[in-house]
Formats: sequence, structure tokens, C-alpha cells
Amino acid sequence: MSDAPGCAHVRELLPELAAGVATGEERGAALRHLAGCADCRLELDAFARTVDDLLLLAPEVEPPAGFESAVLARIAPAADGPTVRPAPRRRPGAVLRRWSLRVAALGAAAALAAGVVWWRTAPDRHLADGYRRTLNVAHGSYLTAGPLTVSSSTWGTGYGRRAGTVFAYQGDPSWIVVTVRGAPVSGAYRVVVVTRDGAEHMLGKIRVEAGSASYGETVKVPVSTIGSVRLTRPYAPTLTAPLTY
Amino acid sequence: MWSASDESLLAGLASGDPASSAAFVRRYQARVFGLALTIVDVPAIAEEVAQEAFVRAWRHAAAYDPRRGRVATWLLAITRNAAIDAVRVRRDRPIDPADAVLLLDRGGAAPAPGFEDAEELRDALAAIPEAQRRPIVLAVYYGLPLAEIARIENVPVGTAKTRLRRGLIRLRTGLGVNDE
Repeated sequence: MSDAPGCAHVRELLPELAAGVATGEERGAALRHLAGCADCRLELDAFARTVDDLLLLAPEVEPPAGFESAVLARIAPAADGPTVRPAPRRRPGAVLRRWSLRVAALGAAAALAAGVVWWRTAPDRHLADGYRRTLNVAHGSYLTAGPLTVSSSTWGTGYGRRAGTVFAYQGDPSWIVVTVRGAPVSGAYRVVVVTRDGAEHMLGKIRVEAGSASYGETVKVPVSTIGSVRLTRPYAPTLTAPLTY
Repeated sequence: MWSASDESLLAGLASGDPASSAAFVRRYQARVFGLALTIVDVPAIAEEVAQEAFVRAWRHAAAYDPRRGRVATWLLAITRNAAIDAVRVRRDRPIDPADAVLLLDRGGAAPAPGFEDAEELRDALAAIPEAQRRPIVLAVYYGLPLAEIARIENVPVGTAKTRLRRGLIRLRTGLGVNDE
């Protein structure tokens, strides 16, 4: 592919394309070539990453006081509900120039791109991508989890010992899943959601047998307001999972 | 929250989650404001640009593709574009590329965690001839077209083009031993 006609010419243009200074005519011709040449696309991508990384060299400067709240105020009016926003329309003034160039090159190559694997495939980014896709299946906002541990020493030993996991999903509906492993006392427990304002909401009951159990239930309060999930039983140590998001 | 990944905070920002949004802004506000200030050079305008950058990031968050680069560079590309838009509106200050080139010198300060590779790039940038470095800064930071770069540098367009190209090639290879 790298010996295909046009590669040499396009390779010369790649730095200018990546820097965003190629003329419209050059850009158009290059994109036509890039659509059919994976090698040149990889080269362009490498240049574009270098150019993008140059922006990291600007000095860090703390903005004036109140900056954070001013930003949050600007995005808050439309962020009342936990909804996944659709991909935005392109606006001429806000186009992500080099990014859009790379997207355009890939878009033009869509038919060929199925087998193209980007040379940089950091596993954590794939994980993030998978996370986003998973959430998008049911328009969820996020998934969080907290370790369930023995949080009181009143009834027996084992304070701080791991006893399971609590998972919480913000979506429609939101839900909580509790898995218990190694609880020091078996029997029926109350599952209580404790919101950050300290209020307790009884969610249901769970039966722990031989120290293990699984439980799932939908929750009405926003997951972001939940500070912890507690499993309580008279004469047994409380199990608590803090939740962050 | 502070240990949350950039991607998860961005997902939270996209969904309008207040805590994620706040954490995202806090994590990047110094970089975003610093870049905006580097380009527009006026604190009040830089603040407006930086705010606008975060708003655009929030608006475009769902379109972020982690395969194409890390969140920081994506956000800074948005910031740069917002700053360029602002500079285009007020063309009252002549650009001095030497200013920006100087600002990119970190003065030996330790790199931020996770951005050590950017320091290698800083070294590579410092290693290339200034005649090639300036066109790169003018194009990448200020978004100037080649004709404008040539005018500022007082050289023919072809020369500006060659310097930019050679500079970027040297930068990429990190060798600094090519021609010119």
C-alpha cells in the first residue's frame, strides 16, 4: 500500500496536514489518497499526535477564583437530568480542526477501515470505550461499586474485613446489586441505602446463607446521592459499602 | 473521585453529573487556562476562552473517541480552537512568536505525573533550530495559515512551508539532525 501512486506526494504534505496549514486543494487531494491508504493514515495520525501533544507544553496557570463555579453554572442549566447527550452537530466555529481532519480521513475510508487497527490501542482506553458502550445500551450514566466490609465490631470480630461488593447503576431504572461473600454471621439482613444527607432508606431484605448471598433491587433515589449501602441484622456486625461516583 | 480516570470523568461530564463535572474542571482548569492565556495573552479573555472550552468539551463529550488520543490533548485542542476564535475576533495584538516559544520553556520544573512524554517533546522542540520552531508554534498554537506565518517571519511562503515541514519531521523523530 505504501508504494501506491501518490504516497510520496502525500507523505510530504502530512506535516502540513497535521499542523492544519495545508491549503484546501492540497487537503482535498490528500484526503482522497488517505481514504485508500492505511499506511499514510497511520503516518498522518502519528504527525497529528505530535502536533496535539505540543499543546501540552503550554504552562499550567491556575485561573482566577470562581472559575470552576462559573463553568459549572454554564453547563448546569441543561444538565438537570442524568442523560447521555447525543453526538453534537458540527458548528463551523467550534470544529475540532485536526481531529475532524483525522475523522474525515477515516470517514472517507470507512469501507476499508473495518480491518484497520490503530497502532495505539491502550487497553485502558478500550476499557473506557467499552464502559461507555455498555452504559449506552440502556442510556445509563455511570456504574460504580464499593467494597462491602464489616463496619462494626460490636457483635464479634472481623472489623474491616471484606465481605462482598455493592454495585450501583445510574440509569432508568437505577439499581443496586449486592454480593455477599464471607459475612461473619448468616441470616436475614436489612438492606439500607444511606443518602449523603444522612437519611436512611430501607430497600429490602437479603438472606445470607453460609456467609454468602446475592441481591438486586431498583432504587428511586439518584445513585449520586447515595453515600453508602448498609446491611444490618440484630446481634450481627453491620456490613457497609461506601459508594463514590 | 480524584482517582477516577479522565474517561470516566468525561463520561460523567457528558451525562451532566455535577460531581464528575466539578472534578473534571478542577483536574484540567490550570492546563486549559494556561493554554488559553498563552494564546490570547489577556487574563480576562483567557478566562472566557477557558470557560468556553469546558462548555464545548461538555457539548462534544459524547463524541470523544479514546482511540484517537488522550482526554488532555482532546480538551486542549478544543481550548486552542476557542482561543483562536477569540483572537480572530480581536486582531489588535500582533503575534510575537518569540513570546510563545519562551512560554513553552518549563525552566527545568518537574513534569506533571502522566505527562512525562510531553517533556520529551519539549526537549525535542528545544533541540530544533529556532527558524523551524517558530513556524510550528505559529501554526499549532495560533492556527495561522502559511501565508501569515511567512509574513511574520519575513520569508517566502515556500520557505515557511519547508521550515514547518522539516521542523515537524525533526520533532517527530526527536533527532534534530536533519537538514537546514
